[in-house]
Amino acid sequence: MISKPETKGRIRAAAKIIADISTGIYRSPANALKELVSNAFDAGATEVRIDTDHPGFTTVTCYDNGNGISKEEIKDAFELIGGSDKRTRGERTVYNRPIIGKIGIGILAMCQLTQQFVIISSKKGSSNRIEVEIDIEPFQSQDANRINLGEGDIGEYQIFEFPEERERHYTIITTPAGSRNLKLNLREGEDLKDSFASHKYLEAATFEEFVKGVGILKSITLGQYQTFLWELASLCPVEYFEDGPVKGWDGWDHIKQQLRSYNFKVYADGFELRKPILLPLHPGLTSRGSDYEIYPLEKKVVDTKSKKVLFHAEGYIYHQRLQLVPTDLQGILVRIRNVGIGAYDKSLLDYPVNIGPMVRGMTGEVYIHDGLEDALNIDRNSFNQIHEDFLTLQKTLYTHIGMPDEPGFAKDIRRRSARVQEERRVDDYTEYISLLATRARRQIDEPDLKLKFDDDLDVPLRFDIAQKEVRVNISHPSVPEAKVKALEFFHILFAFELMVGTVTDISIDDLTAWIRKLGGHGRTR
Amino acid sequence: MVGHDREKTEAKGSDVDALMKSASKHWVRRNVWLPVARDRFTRLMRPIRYFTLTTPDMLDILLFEKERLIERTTRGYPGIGFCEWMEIRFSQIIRKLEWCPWRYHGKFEDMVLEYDIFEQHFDFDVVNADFTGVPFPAEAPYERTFEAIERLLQVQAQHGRSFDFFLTFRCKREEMNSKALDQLGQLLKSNLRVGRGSQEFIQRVSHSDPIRLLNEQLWEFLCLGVSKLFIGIAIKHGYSLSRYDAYVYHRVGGQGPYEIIKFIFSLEASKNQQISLINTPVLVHNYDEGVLLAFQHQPKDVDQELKTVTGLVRELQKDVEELIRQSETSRR
Repeated sequence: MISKPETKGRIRAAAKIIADISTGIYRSPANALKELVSNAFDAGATEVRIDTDHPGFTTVTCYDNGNGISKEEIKDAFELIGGSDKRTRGERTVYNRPIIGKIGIGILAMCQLTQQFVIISSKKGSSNRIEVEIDIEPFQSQDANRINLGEGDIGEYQIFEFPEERERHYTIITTPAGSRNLKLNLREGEDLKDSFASHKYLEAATFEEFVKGVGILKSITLGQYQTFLWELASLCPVEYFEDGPVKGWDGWDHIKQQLRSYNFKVYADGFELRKPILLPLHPGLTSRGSDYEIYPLEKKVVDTKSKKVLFHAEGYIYHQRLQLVPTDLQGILVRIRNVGIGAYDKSLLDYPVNIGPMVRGMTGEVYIHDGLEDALNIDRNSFNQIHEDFLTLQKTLYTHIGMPDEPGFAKDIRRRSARVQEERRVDDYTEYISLLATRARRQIDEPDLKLKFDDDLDVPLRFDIAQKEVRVNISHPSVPEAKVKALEFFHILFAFELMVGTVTDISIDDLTAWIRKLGGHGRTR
Repeated sequence: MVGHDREKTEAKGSDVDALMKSASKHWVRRNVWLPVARDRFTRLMRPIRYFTLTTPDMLDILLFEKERLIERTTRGYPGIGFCEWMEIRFSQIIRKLEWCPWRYHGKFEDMVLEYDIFEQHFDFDVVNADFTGVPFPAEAPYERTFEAIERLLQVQAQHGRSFDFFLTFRCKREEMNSKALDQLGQLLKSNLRVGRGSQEFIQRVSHSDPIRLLNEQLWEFLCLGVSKLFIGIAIKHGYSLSRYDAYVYHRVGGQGPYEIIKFIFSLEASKNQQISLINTPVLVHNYDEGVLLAFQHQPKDVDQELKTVTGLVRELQKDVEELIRQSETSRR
């Protein structure tokens, strides 16, 4: 016996929505579920719990303790998804949170994952809860002509009502038990023998451990489930880790405080998600200025007549000398109303200058406090790239990085890189010569070796045991890093002297003159 | 649409919730399940891995947690598995647990028979199949639950897992498949003719006719028949029975009276899991011993127990309230 539903109806959508559904607008499960999280944020929830049924992935459930949805609100939302925006710009919810999106769009996201799902909600103060069965399966095959005709039906729903305690308020969105068409696709890369991950250092007890574990990986590709967790955390309006985004940097404290004030937590399979940005992660990167640097940015456009803020962006770009891991972190992520749009963009919003491998060590976030919202496409994952606000953002970013006629921080990165490379080259050289000297000493057991520089030598270095000397041709093409500059020559000498103990061809006075000539760039080891 | 009769399940859910909080249910929880789980914990010398068909109140889990038989971490409960098919209840349980490694949104039978990772991942020290329905439902296929039980035992045996199995059924004639009951009656009858236990049967019910028992006292019939069926399945997969217990209590629901029957089977895994010429005598012996144990054991009437001890009902109810209160406090 099937119960008679309280309300039945069709879900209507604007033409653009229909087209997007048929092509699959959401890039990934994380992008789709992010919309449910956004809805919960708007509804004043303090807690969102997502369960993916790992490792089976046969069902997905999203619970939040927000204000709930009423029968009327559901019907309104389904009247026309993608239609007029009923939300007022600047409107805020509890905890002074800026409203993110629209209920209809959030629910649409679920359609990307499954053709059938259920919404259960109890509105604050109501003595009932609703259970809404949604089915888009009968409407899936779309004729291209329908798109051109305008609005259309994308699904149907049935609403049931049951008693509930007045003080309870929540929304649950889930796939029905026994459903077989969930498209989470998170099993790839999963070793189902393990309870959580395929690699030992990804068996994390906390999300912070997980992020740290990911950060020290070099070449191992994350499985789809790990990528999902990481992506969801980076997109949602959740807090940073205590030390995030960059350890020891207080320039972002105001943003961290703002996020904290929203009192909003998202859990995925038991992990409390935080923004997975905890830089630098690599243990070899310790020194700001040489190993990594932060370049904050801000842009504000105010209407001169009305004094209204038309555009306000605030962000940072971080660069480190080693490649960033995971690679998903490379690029720029734009956040509107605290929610990440799309993914980290490695093209840096189509930055026109080739910066080579620099981008592999670069990551950044840009928070849009005002503007740009109208440039958002309906999927809330991409921008209309000819919109004025988007162009403003691009220009801001390009100027910050640097253009041919406007030097930006890229120049500083190049300078840092050159210095680091030079230091590394010197280190390499010194190490090279030290190695040779050690071999020489072992071979001939002679502490009183003479060093001679011989540009005609056909090899970089030759031990002449009879003469008790080492002949060095520092101009030899096989010597590392091609021709040696004066600076490196000096370092070699110094290193050789320290290693071997005697430099007889060049006196200390000569060395001193060299140092003065080179401007005091000497290095002691 | 994959769905269900929401009004019917809503009503059933309310009944189940009331039942779960009842004194008799909690008596079993505290005086039967808890000691058995504690014994298992003592033998293993580690927190137990516990699978349950719990409800949103999670009283069994809370009780085990209070007694430190199961582990709880900042993430959730790493040793718990559960199964629930109603969306709202599934979500409520998940929210309270925060996380556990095994959570199946669907029916128990689907989980065991159709979930593709069941064989790899299902491995528990205590399995609590606290069914709210009857063992052989009127609607076909009536044997699916026992198919699932057999599969579960098979998988546990493959893991070499000795474990405790708590089995609960409802006994209400109108809801049961009469053909299945007849078959069970015939099975009992033929077994009594050739196997051991006939004397114990007579001693217990004062006659030797299982069909008569089926017609006159269904719950007693099910106690014997289900035990025998279960023990046969367990032996087939290489288990021997080290403990057996049965309990009954009587309820009056919206659609008339019924009984709740509870079984405890403690199963020891053996290396010889295959039925072969060599180990058949051992298996037969184990089977006979198991059936004898079940037939000799008169099920305890929980209602009688509650009546004999003054204030016990109130004490149990207070215990339930306290568990719920502690759980809400710890989750705030």
